[in-house]
Amino acid sequence: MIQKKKCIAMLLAGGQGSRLKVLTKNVAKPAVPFGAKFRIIDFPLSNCINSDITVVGVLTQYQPLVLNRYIRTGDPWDLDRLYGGVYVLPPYQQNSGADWYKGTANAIYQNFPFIEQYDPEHVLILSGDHIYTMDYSKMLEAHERANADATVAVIDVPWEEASRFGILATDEEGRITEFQEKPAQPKSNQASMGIYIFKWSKLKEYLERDEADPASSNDFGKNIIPAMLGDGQNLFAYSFHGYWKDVGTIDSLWEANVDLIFHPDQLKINDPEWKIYARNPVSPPHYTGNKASIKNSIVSEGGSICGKVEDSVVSYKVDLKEDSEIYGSVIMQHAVVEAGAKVYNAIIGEGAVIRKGAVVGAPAKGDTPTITVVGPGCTVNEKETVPAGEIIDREETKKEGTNNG
Amino acid sequence: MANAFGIIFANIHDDALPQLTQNRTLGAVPMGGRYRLIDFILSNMVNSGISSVGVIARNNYHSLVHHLGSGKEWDLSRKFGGLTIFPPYATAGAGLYHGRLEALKTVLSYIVRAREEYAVLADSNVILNIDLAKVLEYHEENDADVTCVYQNVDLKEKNAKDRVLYEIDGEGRIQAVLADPRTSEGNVNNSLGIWVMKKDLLVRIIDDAQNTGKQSLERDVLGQRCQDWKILGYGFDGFVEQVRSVPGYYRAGMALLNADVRRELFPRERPIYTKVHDESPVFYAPEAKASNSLIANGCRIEGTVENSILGRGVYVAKGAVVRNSLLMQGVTVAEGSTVDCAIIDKGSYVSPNRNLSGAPTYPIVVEKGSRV
Repeated sequence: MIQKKKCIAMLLAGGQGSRLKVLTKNVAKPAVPFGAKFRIIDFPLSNCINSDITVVGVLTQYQPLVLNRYIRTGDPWDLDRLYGGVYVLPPYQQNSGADWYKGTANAIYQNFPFIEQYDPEHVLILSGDHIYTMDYSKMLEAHERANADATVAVIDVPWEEASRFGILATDEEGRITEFQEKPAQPKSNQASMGIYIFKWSKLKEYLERDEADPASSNDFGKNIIPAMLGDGQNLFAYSFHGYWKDVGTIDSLWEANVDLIFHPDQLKINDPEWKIYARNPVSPPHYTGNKASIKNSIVSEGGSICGKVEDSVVSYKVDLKEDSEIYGSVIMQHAVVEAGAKVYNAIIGEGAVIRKGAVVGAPAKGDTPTITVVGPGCTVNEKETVPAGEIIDREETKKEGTNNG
Repeated sequence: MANAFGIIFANIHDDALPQLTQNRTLGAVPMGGRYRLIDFILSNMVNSGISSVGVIARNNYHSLVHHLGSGKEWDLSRKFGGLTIFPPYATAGAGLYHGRLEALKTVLSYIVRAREEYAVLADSNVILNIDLAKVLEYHEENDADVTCVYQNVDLKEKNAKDRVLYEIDGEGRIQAVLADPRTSEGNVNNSLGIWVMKKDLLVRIIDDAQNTGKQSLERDVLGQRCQDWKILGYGFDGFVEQVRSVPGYYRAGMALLNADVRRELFPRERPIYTKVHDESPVFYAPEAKASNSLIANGCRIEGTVENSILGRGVYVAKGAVVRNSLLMQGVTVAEGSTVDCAIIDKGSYVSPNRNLSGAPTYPIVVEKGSRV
């Protein structure tokens, strides 16, 4: 049965995220843990439900197992619905043959039948690699008010960084006049956030045309938006003011995590009016030991914190033994840090083990620390020293039961 | 899958904690930072393969219904069986029930319709992690009529008030049931309020109780039938706390600070399930101090916390000190205040620079939503 929805969301979650190195060896980027109890995808999914968007198609193709197991019926996000809800949409074989998703636009093209079920007026395109909270319903309102064919969310970036982004030039009414992909001479400092709302009828037309062009790389930023702009379609920018971070690199992932401690006012994860939902295994509150010292940190459930923790983000079911020391680090779920081990400015992956007396990373020289990474499930041996900036990627030695997330 | 359904009495011991059960059933009283008392026995049933559970509530059951919902978090949202909550069902001429037998009478049709052969009945005031499949196995292997779970305890003082004790012979048969004995001491077999019997026998007991005006399952039925039925005791020697009084509740809460107790109560393979609330991780400010404590998500710690259990969303302000206390969801301890040996119920506010202090044997109780 078809139940008409005004706007549905399509979330691009297929990227490998190779710049996150060992952290995306076995999971897609959107499934990478973040902020002690979340995964990156919790942010766009929670934004959807909080914005009253109740149909979300999640397009996956790289290492989808963890993501699939994580999303399941969508119940943590209240997206287990009689009509709509969340669907994981991998590429599939068709009568005409089978293709991987060739690009972001092609991923949507291959899922026309999914979208048509809901007969939407608008389609919201999201990506699964950004940390931010945003009310998409306000963007939809602006999109409708302007009678736009497409609306692109933009955020002001520092001028000196503008050449790293897709930059949009607009007139006084917010109409997009030019789009520059990573320009050497940017005409504005409004960067595209990779969030688009299209009139479905227009998007369909342009996706079909794009698909027929063998030279196209089937990408929203590179092909669809420039093509629409070239045809003089009604394209508007929607300015977003707030915290937004691409967590596509080790450094930016670490930064966004510690922003939760140093700038809690910028990215709120405890707003009762805008909750960020996650699927977490049920566990008791975390225990703080007799000799524990926890300062300027966030800690989630189920773990045992008996060492010293400063300026760090500690996820659920983490075991920090007595006399362990953690500074400026992100400790993901099920990790263990044994007695006498010291961890500085590091990301410790899910289920990793730091044995007794080992030292991971080094205190920062100057303002910006060099981030060290211990991959999920990897072990750092007793008294081993892992120099700052190293990325440990070893055979997994320990399998943790992480069925629930 | 166990061939048994479960019945939980949510209200039976409400009068044990008058201050904490004014607005909720005993089963809905918070425990261990993020649980409610009923979570323990309910999770035990689910982990033992029981997939059909009826919860009988009597009054003040809003928070219980809110907590349990559809039973999804206990994997009890099912097409067949699953969780059923029974609010009071008063027929003409009958008021609210008193004993367990009257409570069971109100759900007779549920029991009759159950597809399973056995019934597991349990109170909601017991904190433990027991494999009930083993109790069912013991019951079947020994061809018992009724199996009662007990724990052998050493009563220090000559007062077993509010307890039910079993006298058990060498073959494990219960020979006598002592309800509310005031003179027992030493080694006794203390009933944990968990019973197994065939569904058919349960239906007969309920019918007979109605005809003869019996109220108490243990005193009036089990106690009278020791000789003609095969009533067995099943000894459980793991960690147990039964909540029967305010100091007992306090002791049960504080017991969770012991690592061995937590290991036993929250093993990986038999978790205790509860409602999920999507709180953010705990924030520890630069000046925070926290030791030997359990701190649930959503808390904000700026002051000092020692030997305490904090429920979801508790705020301990700068310079505030919380010691040896159980703080429930949403409590605020404002700047410069000290709380020692207290039980502070949900949403209460301790004003700046107050000093609230009880004794371990007699903790102060601050009722829900109070301003101190």
